[in-house]
Amino acid sequence: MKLPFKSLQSRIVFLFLSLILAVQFFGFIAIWVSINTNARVAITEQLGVGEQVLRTVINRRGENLALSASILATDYGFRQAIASNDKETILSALENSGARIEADVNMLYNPDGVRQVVSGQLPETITDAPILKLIETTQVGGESFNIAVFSGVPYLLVAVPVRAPLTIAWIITGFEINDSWATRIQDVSRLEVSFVTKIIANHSATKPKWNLSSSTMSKLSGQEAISGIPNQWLQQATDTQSTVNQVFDNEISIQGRDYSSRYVELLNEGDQVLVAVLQRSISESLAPYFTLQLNLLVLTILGAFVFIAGSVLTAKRITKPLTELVNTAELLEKGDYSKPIVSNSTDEIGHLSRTFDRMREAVAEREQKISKLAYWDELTQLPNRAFFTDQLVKFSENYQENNQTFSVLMMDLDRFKHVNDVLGHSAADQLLAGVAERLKQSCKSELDVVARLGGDEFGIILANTHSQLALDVANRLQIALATPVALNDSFVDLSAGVGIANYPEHAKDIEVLLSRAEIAMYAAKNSSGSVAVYHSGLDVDNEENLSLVSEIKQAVEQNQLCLYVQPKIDFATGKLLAVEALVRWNHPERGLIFPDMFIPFAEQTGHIDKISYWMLTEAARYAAIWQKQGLDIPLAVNLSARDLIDMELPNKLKQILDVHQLLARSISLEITESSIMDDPERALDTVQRIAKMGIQLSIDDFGTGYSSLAYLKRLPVNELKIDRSFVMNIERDQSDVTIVKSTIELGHNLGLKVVAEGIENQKVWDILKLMGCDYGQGYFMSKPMAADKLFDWTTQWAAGPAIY
Amino acid sequence: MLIHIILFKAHRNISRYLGKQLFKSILAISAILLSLFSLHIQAAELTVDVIDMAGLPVENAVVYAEPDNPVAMPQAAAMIEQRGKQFNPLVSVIQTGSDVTFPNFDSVRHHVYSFSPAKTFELKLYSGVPTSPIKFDKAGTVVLGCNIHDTMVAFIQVVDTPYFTKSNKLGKAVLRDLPNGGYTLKVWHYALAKEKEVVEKKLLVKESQPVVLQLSLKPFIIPARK
Repeated sequence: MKLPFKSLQSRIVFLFLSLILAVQFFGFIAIWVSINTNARVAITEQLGVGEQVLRTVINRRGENLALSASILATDYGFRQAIASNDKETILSALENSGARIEADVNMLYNPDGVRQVVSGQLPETITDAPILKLIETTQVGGESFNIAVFSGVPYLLVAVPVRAPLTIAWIITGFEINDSWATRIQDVSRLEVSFVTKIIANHSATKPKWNLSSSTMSKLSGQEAISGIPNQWLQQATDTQSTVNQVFDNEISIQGRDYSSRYVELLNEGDQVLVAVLQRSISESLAPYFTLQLNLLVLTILGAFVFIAGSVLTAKRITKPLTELVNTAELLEKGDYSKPIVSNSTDEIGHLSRTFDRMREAVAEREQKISKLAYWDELTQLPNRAFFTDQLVKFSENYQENNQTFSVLMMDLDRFKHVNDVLGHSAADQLLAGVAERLKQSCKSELDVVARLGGDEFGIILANTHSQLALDVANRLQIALATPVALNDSFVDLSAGVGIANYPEHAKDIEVLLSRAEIAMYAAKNSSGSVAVYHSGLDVDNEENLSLVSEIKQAVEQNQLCLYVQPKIDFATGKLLAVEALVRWNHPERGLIFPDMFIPFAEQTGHIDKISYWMLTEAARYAAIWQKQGLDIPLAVNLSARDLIDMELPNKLKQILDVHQLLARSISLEITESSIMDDPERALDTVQRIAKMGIQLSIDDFGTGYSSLAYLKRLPVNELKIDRSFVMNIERDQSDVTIVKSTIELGHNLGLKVVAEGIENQKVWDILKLMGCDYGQGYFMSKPMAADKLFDWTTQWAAGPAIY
Repeated sequence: MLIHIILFKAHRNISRYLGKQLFKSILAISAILLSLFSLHIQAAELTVDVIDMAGLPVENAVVYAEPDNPVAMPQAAAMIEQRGKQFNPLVSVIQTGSDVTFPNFDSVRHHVYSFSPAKTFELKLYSGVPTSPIKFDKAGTVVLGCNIHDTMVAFIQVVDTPYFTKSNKLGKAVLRDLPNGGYTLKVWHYALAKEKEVVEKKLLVKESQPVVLQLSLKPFIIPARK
């Protein structure tokens, strides 16, 4: 059943109410039907009783009449009077007897059926025929009384013989059946009683009709009562006589009221027809039941109200806990599992509530597990990238509200792939866990978020920071990572590139912020520096940089590049020994552009080999020029990883040297450890071929990459260049001192010269000199200068104060 | 036959009542015996079968023959007794002028009456034998009743002839010793359809002959004698 109710409560109320109303309704109908049936049965019984009363009254009256007449008939004197035909005596005796019983008819007939004496005023309509018939019936032992109708007036007649001892006369006595009879029968039977006779008009053509002779009802009602008498009773043929005592029941409407009627045929002999009509008003019979039904109706209405109240209460009892369940379920939907459901009820709803509560706990537990899986990295016990991204969103939202800035640090371990390959996955996993532990310790603020973003990549969100703070943290990280990690009895050096992007300074979009942190990270890895803060120059996608990328090729072809050099000074003599060749882009519109701005793109776009070639050519040209000027110093050119896998590089070098008629020692090459690591076999091969040509090689940025001594041993290098990051802090940092000192010793023990970069003052110079470092390079001696200006600088340098 | 009846009756009277009755009876017997003897040679016998319209025999029909030439004959006394609240016999036939006594053999008293025009009388409540008999001096039918007991009824047919009898159960009535001559044979029965019309038949008696007389009867119930 589809009910138009949304709430369970109204549905329950509606259902209960419908049920009670339906039950009451059918009960009402059943009672009504049964009342009607019973009333009609009762009426029929009443009519039956009425009929009995009617017949009894007639019989009793007839018998009484016969009795009183027979008293007269047996009187000796009366008989004597008859025998002697003493009419006066007879008359007076008849009158006396008739007065006693109030008879309407009192007569004497002789045995031959001749009326002899008549007492009182005899109705004119009386005829002999019915009387003689009665005498005849009585004579043969039949009933001594009978009904006769004279001109529509019914009479009860009695014939009593006068015997002496043979019948010598008949006493005929009679009563008119009138209203008093009807009233008498009504008194006993409580029925309306009417007597109806048949009237035959004088003209035989007119049909016979009914005549109301007496009735307890009004004449009008009595006339209507007649209409129910079967017509055939009226049209009975004269010769049918044995049909007396026909009874017929029906219901007719009289004066707008329904009556159950019984028609009793008391006499039907030709013209002599008498019908008694017994009637009972149906509405009167039903009247007592109406009160009953009214009471029942009141009870029904009261019952309905009680039911409504009851069902509303019941529905509330059912729906209240349900509503609570719904509220809790809505909380669950929002992810709030904290609100417990308390139910002490022992019924099904209570059971449901408890089950629901258990479900709530189970779901909460599972969700916790799932979200942990979704947001957690088991290996490092750190949140994963998804969590990290979510947190970034929250931080950005927090910025919108509280204006609190934050920074993203992205970190990628250097040479992790190598560790993985050499030491195995298990060791690599331990390494990652160790790194994670250090990162966590480095971030003291509880608001900071450390996450493993995937592989060897980690991310940190620093709350409430600015650029400088972020840089400090990044440096702290580097320091924390500097301590080698112990793995399977061996120690692994760690280093990592850290990129920093600040919100909202560098990006207001989380994705962009992340990608920029990543760009900064790669920038840090590519440059010798280990930490980089994002700036637009790093961004390949930056419009400015894009144009640079497209212009690099053009720059080489149109000779927009120019060669800069930085001197390498011998610690022992303070003399210029060599220069490192550096590139600058003299952009026609932007002016001088530093290599940091375009070398990374040149490496990515494949133009690096052109730049390298240009560098080699220019270096060779200047070498030739300076040799002619009497300045015989080698130029050191940096090579990229890409250059090292170029199998033609040795040939190209030879060709360049040949063009300027230079010796192999006029040019030296600087390579980084990482440039070899991309494809160590090919790179080694190239490097060895170059070395065979007699060209000097040095390892650049030593200490920042994965210093595999195994490779170093195999490399045919002549020189190590200690990365400036170690050198710069050497005055303050004892560990840097140790590193530099060890490196110098290492280089010397391997038979290599050691170069220190980034010397910025006298103190550093002195320390390095004391350590036995071979050559120095840095602002303290000279900034990089245009190659053209080197000759003048040498003159200046030679003339200047000695620094050793 | 008649003599026998009378004798029988006389014997019964003698045996039961003594005195005057006894003497009268002896005288009567002597006279009858004498007369029968003297007329014997010219007498005839009339056998009458009384039947109803259905041909069934009718009992208690009074059959009598009135001679065309009346003869003076001495009257015989008759008796109708009341026994068991019944008149007995039901039907009696007597010659005009005969005396009838009504002895009551019941323990209860009776009030015998007649409103019949042939003889109206009443014997008020009595028991035993009334002091004097009732003389029936007029021909006709006398219906007897008892005012106390409605069911008691008896008939006396008073005839003007000495030749009379009643039919037996077989409907047979025999009139003996009828002198030859013309007669009016009459039959009366209490249930005659037409009460007052006696069935008559003229006939000439020369020798013994059978006669059949048919009666039209109405249903007639004699109370307590069914």
